[in-house]
Amino acid sequence: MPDDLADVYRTTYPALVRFLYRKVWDADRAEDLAQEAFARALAHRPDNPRGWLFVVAANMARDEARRAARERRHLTLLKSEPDQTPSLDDTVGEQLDRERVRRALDELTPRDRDVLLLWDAGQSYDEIAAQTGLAKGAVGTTLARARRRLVEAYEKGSEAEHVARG
Amino acid sequence: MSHVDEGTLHAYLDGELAPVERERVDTHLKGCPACQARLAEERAIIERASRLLGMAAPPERAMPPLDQLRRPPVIWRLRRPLAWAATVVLAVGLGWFARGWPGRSMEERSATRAESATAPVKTPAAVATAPRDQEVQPKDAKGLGRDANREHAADRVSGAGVANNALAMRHAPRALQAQDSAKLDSAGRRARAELDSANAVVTGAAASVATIAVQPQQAAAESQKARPVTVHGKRAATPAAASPEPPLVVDGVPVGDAASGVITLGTRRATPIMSTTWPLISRQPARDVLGVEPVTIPGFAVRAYRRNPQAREIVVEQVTDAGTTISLIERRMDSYGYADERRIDSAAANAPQVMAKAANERLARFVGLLRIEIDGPLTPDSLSSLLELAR
Repeated sequence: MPDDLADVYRTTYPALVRFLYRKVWDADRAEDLAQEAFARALAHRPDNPRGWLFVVAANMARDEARRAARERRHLTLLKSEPDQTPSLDDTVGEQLDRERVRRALDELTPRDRDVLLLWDAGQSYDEIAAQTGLAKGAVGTTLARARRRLVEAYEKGSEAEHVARG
Repeated sequence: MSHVDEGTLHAYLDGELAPVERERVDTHLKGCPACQARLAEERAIIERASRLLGMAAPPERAMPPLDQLRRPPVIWRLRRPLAWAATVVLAVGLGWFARGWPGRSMEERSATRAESATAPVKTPAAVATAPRDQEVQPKDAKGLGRDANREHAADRVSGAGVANNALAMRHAPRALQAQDSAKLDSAGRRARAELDSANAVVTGAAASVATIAVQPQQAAAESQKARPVTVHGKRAATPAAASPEPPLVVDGVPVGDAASGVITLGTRRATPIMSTTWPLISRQPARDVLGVEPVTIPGFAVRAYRRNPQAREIVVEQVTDAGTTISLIERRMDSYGYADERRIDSAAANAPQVMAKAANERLARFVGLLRIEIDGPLTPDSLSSLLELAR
């Protein structure tokens, strides 16, 4: 079992960070949560660690988002502050792109978004089905819709920016 | 066969179709240009979506080793806020002392030192200075003698007993140390100075400089090999002695070396340690003495191991990059363990005396079972980082 988890860690950690990052939009936080998820896995030794990790991570991200929202509400009362501080190691262009993708992802329904992010994190249709409660046959349909909406929302957002800039 | 639906096309492109179904789709596509066109379209969407997601990827960073993810014991997490508080109190106490307590002259100090060099030190490990106004009533609750007088605010550590965390300054003159040592030695006991204000971590009762209600701690619960560790860092530069000042007297013994400043976190006990004169040993014997691997602070070179000739106690000397020597004094925890019901209630009223004694104390602080003592100037920041390292 321990070796199992070590393998899962090697293969899944980066994907889990990526998955979490697109939920909390903070690289450090995403890593913290991913590590916390693995720390819990070490303690609980789940039978299906990969699936378990994503479920736990998704729950933590949800709690995190609620907490962040709460804090933001409090903070905005005190001072107006940008949502997040851009990290120093990427360019302005990259930040803009990321912000657009983030907004586009926000347009998806939670289920579509989850399925898309899970797929992108390397989960199979079977795993996605198990985690989301969808029938396996519905995963392809959901993914097709999620991808299309993501692309459309992103393009719409870019167009709107161009229009706004004149 | 009817046209292939969008979901199936995605599953097909994602390689997630069962072989039978895949074959059926292949067959249909061969004869259906419309579906071929849709397939190309969906493939483009998949690629586009995946590229977009790639733009929203976190920076790639190294993975920490899996075994480092085990969460630290709860006690450390509880402790952290207290460390902060202690540091603040440290600063406040230092300021208070610096204002009200002048240092001794250089002559006095060197005289004391010379004296100490010749004085036989019987129990270098730990000596508690008695409060002037209190009679010491050694108590033997555990079959062990008590010699220490403790005044400090402290609650009992519960359970694991890992909760001593305290600050105290001490810097006892060596003469006193020698004398007290002899005295204590006759009792056959070693005092373990134990600063318990940190117990507040567990109980939530914060110790303050002014309120010193004492409940010396009983450490009996943890009879294992838990070792208090003393970090006894010596800086090359000692604070310059200011104007001469009448020596303080504690139990008829002159006490006082205020030059280094005083800090108390509600608790102090003197434990002069003459570890630098202990005979050198190597690591294996050191381990034998302790029964477990000696603790070292990671990142610092170990210069020497020494053994206390009188006790099952060793010191690990480590050197920082800046040349500061840190001595980790470690002994078997099972060599003491005591209880003491004494209580000093009028502590606040005694504050001046307490501070006077504290003048001779070294900065000491418990971090769990680690005893950390620092001799010499140290900023709260350095203290914090040292404590972090010690952890």
